[in-house]
Amino acid sequence: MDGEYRASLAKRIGASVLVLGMLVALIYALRGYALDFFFSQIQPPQNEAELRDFVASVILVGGSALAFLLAALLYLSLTVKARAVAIARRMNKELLLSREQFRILYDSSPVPYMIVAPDGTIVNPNKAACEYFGLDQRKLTQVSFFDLVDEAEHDLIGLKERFQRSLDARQQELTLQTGDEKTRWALFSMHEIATAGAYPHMGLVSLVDITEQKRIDKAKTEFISLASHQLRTPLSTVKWNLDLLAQTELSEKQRHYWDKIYSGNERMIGLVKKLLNISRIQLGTLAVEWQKIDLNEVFERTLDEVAVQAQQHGVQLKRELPEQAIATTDAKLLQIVVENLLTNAIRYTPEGGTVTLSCTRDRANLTIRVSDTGIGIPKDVRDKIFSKLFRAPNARDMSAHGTGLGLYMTRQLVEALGGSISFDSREHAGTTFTVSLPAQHNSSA
Amino acid sequence: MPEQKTILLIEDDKDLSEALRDQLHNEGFKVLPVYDGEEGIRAALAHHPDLILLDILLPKQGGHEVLKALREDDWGRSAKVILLTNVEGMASVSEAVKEGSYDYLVKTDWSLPEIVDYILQQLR
Repeated sequence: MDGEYRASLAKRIGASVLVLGMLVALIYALRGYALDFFFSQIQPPQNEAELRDFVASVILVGGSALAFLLAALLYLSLTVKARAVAIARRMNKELLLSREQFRILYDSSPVPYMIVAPDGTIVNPNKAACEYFGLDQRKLTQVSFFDLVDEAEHDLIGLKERFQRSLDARQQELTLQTGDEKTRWALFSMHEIATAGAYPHMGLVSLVDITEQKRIDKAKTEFISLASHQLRTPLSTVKWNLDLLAQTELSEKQRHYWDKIYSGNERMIGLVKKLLNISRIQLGTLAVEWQKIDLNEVFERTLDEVAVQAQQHGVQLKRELPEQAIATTDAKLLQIVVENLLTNAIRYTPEGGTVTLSCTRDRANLTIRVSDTGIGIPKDVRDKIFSKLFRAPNARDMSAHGTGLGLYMTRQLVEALGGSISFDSREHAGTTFTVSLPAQHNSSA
Repeated sequence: MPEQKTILLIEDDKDLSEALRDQLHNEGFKVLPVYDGEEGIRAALAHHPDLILLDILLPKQGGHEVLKALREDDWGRSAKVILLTNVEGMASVSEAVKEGSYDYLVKTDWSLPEIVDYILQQLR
């Protein structure tokens, strides 16, 4: 019953009870006068015939009053019923209208919709769902929803168990197989709805197609990877043939030229690596591989990598590392970050200076510092130091090498690892870069 | 001088193959060079080398297909394989690592002496 009907009914019942009550009260109040009037007007029956007439009159009056009461009650109930029927008709009309509007919306929506039972039975897929899967409605309702999910990409047993537990799911990426054996990717959402039928609850499924976006992302990743291969292959050829050449007898002059070729090639290799990492970051295709790692292994490996550079620059490398430090992060990306900071520190520290790598770890966080006794960063350019292709004027003066990409890339990688980077610097005294990273990583299953 | 171990080198770039072959030969290894994946599978199953150096991007059959084929063979299942590649971030590299090679080495990151040291560690 709607509120309006209930209010109307309450008013009518209330009014009827009030009137009845008033009548009864009136009769009770006037009973004395009524009886006096009655007995003054009416002669008491003197004989049996008069008594019979008297009783008949009483019955007639009483019966009429009762009939009137019953008529009133009947009228009340009929009015109430008519009102209820009118309201029910109005509600039914609204319901039919609402259903029709929903049906039009559901059937004509460009979003694939279907209703799915906990066991995967598909009911009432809309036109868009049929087109999406390349199956007509009859065929689509004959397959299980789980048959449409790519079992190579998803744990079907786990998915079936989830459906049994709950028919609510929010924006999950699914790889699907269509009727014509094509692969499509979609964002899958499901909302539990109550139904009348074999299943008390079913899931209303909607799919937002992201196939094109996935293909573009895949193409970008493959382009970068192939580009990396094409750029690196000739560099590898030069590197390895130089390695072989170094094992032969070289004159002093030849060794001198060999050094130039080798260092030029290594710079090119480093540049290609940076450009590829930056491209991946900018295209959002950088893959972070979270693993539990021994940080000291990463640090020692990195220190080994830069040891020759430090020696060539006459810079002392120091380390202040904990005895043991385990964290969950990406070892390769972390090494790139630390190596870049160390390389910069060595490059911009004059001969005789010191570069120190330190690390502290508490329960939640990892703090890595690279400190140098180098040229420092001028105050007026500190806000630009992480910008792409920026090099501070004093850095350019000290070293012609440097792309202006290193710190930009380093910050992007630190952020990809869930951390932050900052620095403290005094011109002509040195700089300390501080990287803070979470020690653990919570990834959703 | 290490006892003569046999290394199967599956690398389609002839310049890289030659450089690596020369270095390994200088270190006392017997090297079998092949230049595509199909030939790589055939040579691996025929010669049972002590170690396989495998490139990813190969003609006829790619590195991860070679790896898959090896893992289906009784001997191949326990064959020592090192991926040598200049490709990073591609699905095929992750697939290959998942399929159980030792590790992948990016060629530009490793000098020839470093590769030899690594190989010697794996063969110990």
